[in-house]
Amino acid sequence: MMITLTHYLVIGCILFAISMYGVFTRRNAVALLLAIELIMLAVALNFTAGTRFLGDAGGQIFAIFVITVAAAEAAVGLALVIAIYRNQKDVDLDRLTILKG
Amino acid sequence: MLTMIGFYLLSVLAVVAGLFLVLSRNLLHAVLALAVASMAVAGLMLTLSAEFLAFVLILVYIGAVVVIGVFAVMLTGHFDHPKLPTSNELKGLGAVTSLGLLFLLLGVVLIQPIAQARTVAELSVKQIGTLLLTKYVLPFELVSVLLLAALIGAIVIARGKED
Repeated sequence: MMITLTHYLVIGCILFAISMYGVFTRRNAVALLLAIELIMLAVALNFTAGTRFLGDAGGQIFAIFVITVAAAEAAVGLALVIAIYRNQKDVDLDRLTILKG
Repeated sequence: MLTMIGFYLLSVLAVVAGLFLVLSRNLLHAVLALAVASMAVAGLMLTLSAEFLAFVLILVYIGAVVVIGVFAVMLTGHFDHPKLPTSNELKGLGAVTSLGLLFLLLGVVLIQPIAQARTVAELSVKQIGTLLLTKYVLPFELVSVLLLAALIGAIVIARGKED
């Protein structure tokens, strides 16, 4: 039995579902951002598997772009968390309701 | 055979680290779980013979994202108060939704297998570099601008207004 594209796609799906659970249920903003980073990780893995098994170089190139966007998102997201913490002394997403109309 | 053992070990490691990231009470442990998950996924990329991407992943995720995450946890504090609930009231609904999403995705992946190419493709670093500067030069430049904007934005946002 060989390892096929499906194996990698299944792992990507499982990682994606786990991190979606984190996005749905986490209360701490930092933990939420970490879960989003895990989503990007799963997507990058799927793209890489696509290059290997479908013979299209675009997969790895776009995995590089996904990793770049993940880094940018981490920087901006965590800067926002720090700015919110400085103003509100809190990063609990259920208590951050000042934008609520 | 060795690749298969490596694949299964690394997959289990990635999934366990992912679960730990999502469920752990201590945020510092969650950040370290992200580091372990990145290592496992980088190992999976090595089994796909995508060496360059694996090392870029380690560099960016463990070298940058995890370090930023540790700093954010330290700076925001109160991260492992035992009385504080780690998840909101949507625990059951979130579990149902993400499980439904998992089965939907698995159904799509497993029911309709994608036709695979005859030969497996391997990309050398030279080929990646050439592609980035020829066929994919426009997205490459766009993503560089995005990264620059994100870095400047992060500095401006995090600095506050003491100027």
